[in-house]
Amino acid sequence: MTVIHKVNRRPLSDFVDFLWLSAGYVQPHAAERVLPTGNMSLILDLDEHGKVPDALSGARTRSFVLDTSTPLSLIGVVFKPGGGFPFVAGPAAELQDLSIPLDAIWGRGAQVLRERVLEARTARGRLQRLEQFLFQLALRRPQRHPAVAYALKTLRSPGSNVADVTERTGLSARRFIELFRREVGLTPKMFSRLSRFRAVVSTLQPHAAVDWTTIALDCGYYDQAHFIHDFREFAGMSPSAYLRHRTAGPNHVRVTD
Amino acid sequence: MSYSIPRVTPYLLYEDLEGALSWLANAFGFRERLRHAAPDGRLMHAEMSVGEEGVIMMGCPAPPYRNPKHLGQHTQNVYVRVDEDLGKRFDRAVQAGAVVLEEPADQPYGDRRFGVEDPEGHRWYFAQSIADHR
Repeated sequence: MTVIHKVNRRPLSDFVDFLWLSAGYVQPHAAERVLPTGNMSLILDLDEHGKVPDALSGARTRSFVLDTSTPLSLIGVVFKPGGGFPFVAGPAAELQDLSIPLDAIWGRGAQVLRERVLEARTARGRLQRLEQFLFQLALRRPQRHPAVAYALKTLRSPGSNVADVTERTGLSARRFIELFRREVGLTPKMFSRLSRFRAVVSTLQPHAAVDWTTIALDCGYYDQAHFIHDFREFAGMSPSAYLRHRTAGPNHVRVTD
Repeated sequence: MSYSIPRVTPYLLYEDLEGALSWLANAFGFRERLRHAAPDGRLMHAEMSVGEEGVIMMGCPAPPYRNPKHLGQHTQNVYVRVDEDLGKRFDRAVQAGAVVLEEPADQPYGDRRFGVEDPEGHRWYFAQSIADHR
């Protein structure tokens, strides 16, 4: 079973989208490909001798393969776009497409968190412990730069483009990119491209007929060729292969070879 | 913490739980706080926060469960107390497509109240004390 807890309490809700816990995650396939979201994330293995290292991941621009050949019991955090930076020391851009062992970032705090979470026996209790830990870190109330906050909001709408947004921040392109990368972990351009890709993934309904051209245009792609190019780059497969092998979670795709 | 469960909690059953979560957020401003999914991805259980301390739980039973709309009658009401903005809440619910049962009106027992039905036929009453309201 998977439990998803939406974070509603400020200030944590400014930075964290949701916490999740999967107990005994078993799939009929041995591996699955996880699509990039552009969000930073955190993962802890709930098994004493688990094979997944406790780690914090930077914003991803590429898919990765998850080994599902044995049951997994994991707990994790999905940060909001640009929401991970208060929890790491240093610019988020340094973590792009990387997974860093938690103790390399939080030192002894990583072990404290692990012990606290495992001390609780239930899914609710564990999620609550994790939320409390993050809540304390978020109480330092780190401030987003207003230009970054504005860009994060604007770049997610289909018609937006980076040049317009940059101009409206009143900053030089160089300064804006630097600020954006520091907090979000991606360039504004990459964030904008990933947002379009994510819009497509969340638009697709299971079992519905798909009109790729309409979806591509609705989600802000210039034409279908640009759409297919981006989809292959981010998902590591074609749109039709994605539809064939997608699991119940739209972000997880069965690996067949 | 946001995980506290009140001593008594309404547990409503929906045929389309995903749809109910988004409708209730949109129409009433409830905030999703928890969802349980089966290994095949099917949503089994969800919880929403109502104001600071309120909670509703929701489930999605397999057929032959029928919601009040398909059953042809409601079997209970949910009564929600709010501290302010009763009129605004009414407008918001109506805009989201709630079926009006009662327009906001003062009640002799001391609350101002409106009643609406959600898309699956569950009946919701929102009320504010007249003393707070005037």
